[in-house]
Amino acid sequence: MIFRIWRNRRREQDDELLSAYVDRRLEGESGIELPEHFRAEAEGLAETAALLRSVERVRAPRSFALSPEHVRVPGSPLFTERTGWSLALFRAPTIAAAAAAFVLGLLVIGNLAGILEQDSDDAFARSTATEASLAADAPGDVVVDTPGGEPSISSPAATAAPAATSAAAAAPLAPAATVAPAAAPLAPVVTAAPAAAMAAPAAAAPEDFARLESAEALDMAGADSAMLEDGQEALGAESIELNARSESEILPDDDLAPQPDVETALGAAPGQEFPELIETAVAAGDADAGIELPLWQLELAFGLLALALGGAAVAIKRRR
Amino acid sequence: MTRTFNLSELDPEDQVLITRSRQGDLDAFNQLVVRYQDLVFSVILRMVRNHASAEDITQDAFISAFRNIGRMRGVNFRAWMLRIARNATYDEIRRSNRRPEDSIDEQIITLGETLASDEESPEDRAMRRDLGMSISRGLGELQPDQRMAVVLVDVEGLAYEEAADAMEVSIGTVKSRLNRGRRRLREWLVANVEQLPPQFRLHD
Repeated sequence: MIFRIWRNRRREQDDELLSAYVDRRLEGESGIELPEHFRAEAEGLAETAALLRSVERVRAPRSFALSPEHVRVPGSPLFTERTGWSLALFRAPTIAAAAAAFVLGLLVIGNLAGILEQDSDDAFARSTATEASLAADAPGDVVVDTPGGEPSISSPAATAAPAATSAAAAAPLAPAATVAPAAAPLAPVVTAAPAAAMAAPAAAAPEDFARLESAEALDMAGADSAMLEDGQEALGAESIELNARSESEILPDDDLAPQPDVETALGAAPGQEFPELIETAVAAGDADAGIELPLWQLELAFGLLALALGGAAVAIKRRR
Repeated sequence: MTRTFNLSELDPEDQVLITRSRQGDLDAFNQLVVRYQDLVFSVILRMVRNHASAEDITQDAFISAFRNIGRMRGVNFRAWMLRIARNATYDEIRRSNRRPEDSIDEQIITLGETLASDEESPEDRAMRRDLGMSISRGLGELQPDQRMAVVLVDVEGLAYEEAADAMEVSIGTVKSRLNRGRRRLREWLVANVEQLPPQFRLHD
């Protein structure tokens, strides 16, 4: 192998030497004596080169001067005068395809790396929880079982406030993401995920969400607290107790004024009424729920988008 | 008859025409076309060996040059133009290799119109034309890289530096390809000695 490389290099050097000799381009040519076996070959090559130089030069059969039609595609100035907007339009499919491919790459990498975990069970639990909250969100009054065992009748707006308050109030005691879903059955209007996200988004671990949302789907208010594991059991009971207190003691039904930390958590504008605040939060929660697609669907969508845009870019380039 | 060009001998008028062409002046660019169309067409014809294809490729090469003249670096328009021509001919060679049914146009044998000297007798001219035909057949036996080196340096008389610029390789590579091309062409000419006019016949 090494010998072959050395031999090829040596042959190239010989070729370069012979070429330079034939073309009289050797430095200090007069003092250089070619080896005998090179001399005969060099003479033959010099003869060939002289023959080639004596070949007649060719004249162009016609003028190749360009007309304006040559440099402009009729009806399509986009392809010749590519400046400003036309340049942006020309490049738009390529840039969009690259962006779609980039997002797809991020999704795939995130999925493979476990950053963007979303399996089918998780999606199922999420959808079940959403259905449960929608069922509870029916118009009119809703009968809710409180932990005290005394059924109470409350309107959605009325129950929403204590629930949100309890979520915020419980936040300093424990990870808010753990407490807020537990409070959700008492106030179905404020769904668990948005309330928890607004109360303390940094504390929300994906595993906790998945587990607690599943529990929520099983109507946790009336259910046995054994559904929760270990420390969450205690937290669930504590939060349920807090919910009951918030309804009866902390915030009476006729007092809907939000606590300052709740206002902050919900991003209240100055002077905004609390019911409006809740509606805004619910709307935001619904909006968030609207983009909950399984990961593979997102990947497929971005993959198809990248392919379509890439195809468009290639088609434009070919047409040009 | 040796025709060599040095980079330092390039016509400064080229630079003016290039500057105007970059501003979209088609007339200025057409002056450059008139200056170099014989060279460009000749190189392309000897590379693709098909008259109709050579015309099309030459026209396309000048159109491409006008559209991209803003990207041209340096002042050597001829080498830059030959680079475009080389890329276009390589594309055509690859395409024709995929279509073996496309035979080489026999018009290559006549090489179209030639730049004949007024002092030449009709007999000499006919003889040189015969030589051109034989050389063209022999060039067809070379690999494209070797053929390009031989055509640029030996037939068109470019300096090594300018040929290297046009071929986008080092000067050493030009020399190496040139020598191999000459050697192979010589072997072919010796093997087909009857195709050369008597006074040009090579002997082993």
